[in-house]
Amino acid sequence: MLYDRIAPLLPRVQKPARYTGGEVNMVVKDPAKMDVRFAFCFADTYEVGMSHLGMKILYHILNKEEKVYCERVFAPWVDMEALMRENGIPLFSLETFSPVREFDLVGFTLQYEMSYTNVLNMLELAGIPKLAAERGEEEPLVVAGGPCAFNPEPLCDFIDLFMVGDGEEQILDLVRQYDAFRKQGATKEQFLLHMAGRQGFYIPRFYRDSYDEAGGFLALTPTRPEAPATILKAFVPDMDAADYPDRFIVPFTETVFDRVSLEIARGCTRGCRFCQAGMLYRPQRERSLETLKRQAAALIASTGYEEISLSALSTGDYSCLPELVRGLMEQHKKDRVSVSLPSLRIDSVLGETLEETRQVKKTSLTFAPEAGSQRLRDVINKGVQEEQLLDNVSDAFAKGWNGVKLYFMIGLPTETEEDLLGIPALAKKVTERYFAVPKEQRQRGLRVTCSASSFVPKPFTPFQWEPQNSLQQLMDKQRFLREHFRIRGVEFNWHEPHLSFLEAAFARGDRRLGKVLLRAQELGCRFDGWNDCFRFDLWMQAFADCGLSCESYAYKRFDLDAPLPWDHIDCGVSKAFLRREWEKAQRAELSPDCRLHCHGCGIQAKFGKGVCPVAHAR
Amino acid sequence: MRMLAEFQKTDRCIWFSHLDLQRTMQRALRRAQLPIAYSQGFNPHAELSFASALPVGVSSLCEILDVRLDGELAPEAFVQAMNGVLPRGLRICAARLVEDRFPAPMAKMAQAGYEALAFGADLRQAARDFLASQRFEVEKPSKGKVRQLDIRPMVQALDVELQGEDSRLTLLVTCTNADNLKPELLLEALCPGGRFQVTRTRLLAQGGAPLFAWTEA
Repeated sequence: MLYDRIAPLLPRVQKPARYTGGEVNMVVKDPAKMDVRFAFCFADTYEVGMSHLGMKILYHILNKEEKVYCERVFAPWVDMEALMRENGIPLFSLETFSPVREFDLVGFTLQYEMSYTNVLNMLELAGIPKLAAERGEEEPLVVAGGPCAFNPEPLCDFIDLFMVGDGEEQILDLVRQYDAFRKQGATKEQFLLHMAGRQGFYIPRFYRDSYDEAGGFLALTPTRPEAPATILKAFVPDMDAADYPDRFIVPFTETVFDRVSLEIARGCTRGCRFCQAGMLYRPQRERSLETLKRQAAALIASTGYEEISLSALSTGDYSCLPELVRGLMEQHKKDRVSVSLPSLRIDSVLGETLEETRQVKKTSLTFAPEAGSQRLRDVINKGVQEEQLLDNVSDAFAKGWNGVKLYFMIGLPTETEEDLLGIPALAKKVTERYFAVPKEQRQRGLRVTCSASSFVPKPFTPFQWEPQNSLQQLMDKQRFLREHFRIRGVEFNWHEPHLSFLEAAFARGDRRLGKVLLRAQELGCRFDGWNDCFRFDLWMQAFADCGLSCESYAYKRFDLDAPLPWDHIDCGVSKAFLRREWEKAQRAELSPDCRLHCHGCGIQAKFGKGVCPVAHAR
Repeated sequence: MRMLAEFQKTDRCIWFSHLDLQRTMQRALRRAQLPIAYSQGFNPHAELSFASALPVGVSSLCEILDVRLDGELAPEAFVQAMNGVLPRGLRICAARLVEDRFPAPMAKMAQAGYEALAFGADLRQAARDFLASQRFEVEKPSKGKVRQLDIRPMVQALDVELQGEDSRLTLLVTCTNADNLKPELLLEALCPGGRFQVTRTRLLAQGGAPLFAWTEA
């Protein structure tokens, strides 16, 4: 067994428990008795992957099938990778220490563009040919899903089948169809042709890309009659009916999020113009109080976790948040369980909800104004008023909170120096609100943390046509902000702009980037999202070796009428709506929350009346 | 009252750290829903301790968990409930109720016994040389620096038996809160670059006495 060859390496690596599985609630089955073996691969470390909710959901759903065994695979950290290569140990699953190449289906969840080199590196470690064209009938089928599958083009050379949209029902469709076709003795090609016609599946090999003489993207054309011109995302209309795990694997070793996560809603009604998730996961769908309380009770009992976190794109918008928090706290008071709200929007119903979370555990408050001035917040449709934010902060300080995190972006479309200056100015006002609370009433030790990330234009947002700021501009803006950020009690953090530059290229990339990706991985790039591993020089070399430039992708301003490399994917939101939103952004005109006014984004037209609870109510 | 429990840490469970063990036991106690005493404050946790931290990669047949209760609980019920919720590789073998003032096992710790297999090596001569020496200095990495440490006085017994190609070692070494000889330090000194499989077999008080009796006298 592979374990006997892995164990001698473990004393020589950091955190060996990353590689040994065996946790509470891990699913144990006999691989020999399975019809379909699915390797669920997460292209980052164990600690990151085990924090990911989507993986927990799909692991549960697949393993409920009696004859399907889904096992977990993570990217080995660089120390382990070196030892595996040195000792000829292939990439393996944590459940049974099986080589990944022995699985039927190898599935990657694509959470972040800058984990793409890890996808290739994991295929290489598995001994599976990286290029789909070089894989034969004996090799596993390599599939991928997750948010980055909405613009899958840069990965088309490597992936046999993409899953676009909500995975709950789709992944079962995939394994069932796969099983049926294999039992009939079908070839991969026959199976893929069949899948090409099913909702949410995109088979890149059945399409051809073309470009004009200047290198601009022209079209993606189906090469087989079975391949549809557009691929509509898979969609789960009712979150209460959607399957959710009643047990989570409880890691031995500490992970990024080590607690019960309840997905209280999917989708968002806010319509922030930079936010890809807010468009991809429309319409907003909530789980009911009863469902959530039932799921929480099952998960607390099966895991022994001490914390429940409520997860959604905009937790504060959940329609009965105070009742939910109160209900969960009552239900679990005897278990000494705390409830935390991770992504509070600043204009959420804070008041009593805030007080209730504080009763059990004090967590720091997070606000995301995103831009420093009201004008720019209107451009990006972050309909948040400064006074509102400051009143909420004052309220929190008066109630004994002393930690506030503020998230901003720099490089947003139309940004000026005045907008930038608004960022430190807002931070300063937050500290003034703290010092305005009488000394004996406020908690000592004010901590205001301001983070500025770089704006990355993403497909399926109203800013999808916009160029990213140049690297030089972003670095100048960061320097400018650092100079203006000498404020007592405030810490200023910024993100590595080189990484955002590459992210921008791959987010809006086309098929030609596949060879850059392959070259970068050959040169040794992986774990690009980790500061100590990121090698910008090698990335630039990879672009140069392939005769392409990162600038031409990241800095590209697409013509509003030009075809886009992701036009064949249909996320349900219409291009006409995105364009209207882009035009409103130019005029700094707000689009109010969908709950107040339906903007006709196209979701209802696409999926039928009633799918969008907000549009339906009108 | 407190519950003292002897447990094994084997299989895949040897690869997680002492800190991970604490977290894992905390969560097992919560799943078992036993009447455990919890600390006050925003992060309540079970009041538990262990006799001695076990190095990562070493199995054990004799670890000791000490947990404070806030209600009635029979040792048999504790063993059964915990073994129902612990992962494979952690198993409670015995438990005993003691008064709150009963001394903490950690405070009585003096020595630990280990059995080790050294694969493909005959360590009989190395062991004889070691035992005959007055001092035996090894390099010990500590907080980013390497310091010299005389491990000879920390080894009370060292037997080697040849088993086919491999050596089977039986060790008795110092293991107190202040001074704890990790067996790998000795094994690495006897057989540099060797491959070992180590199991902790005994935890002992001063003079080689048992830490306490598992049944009340």
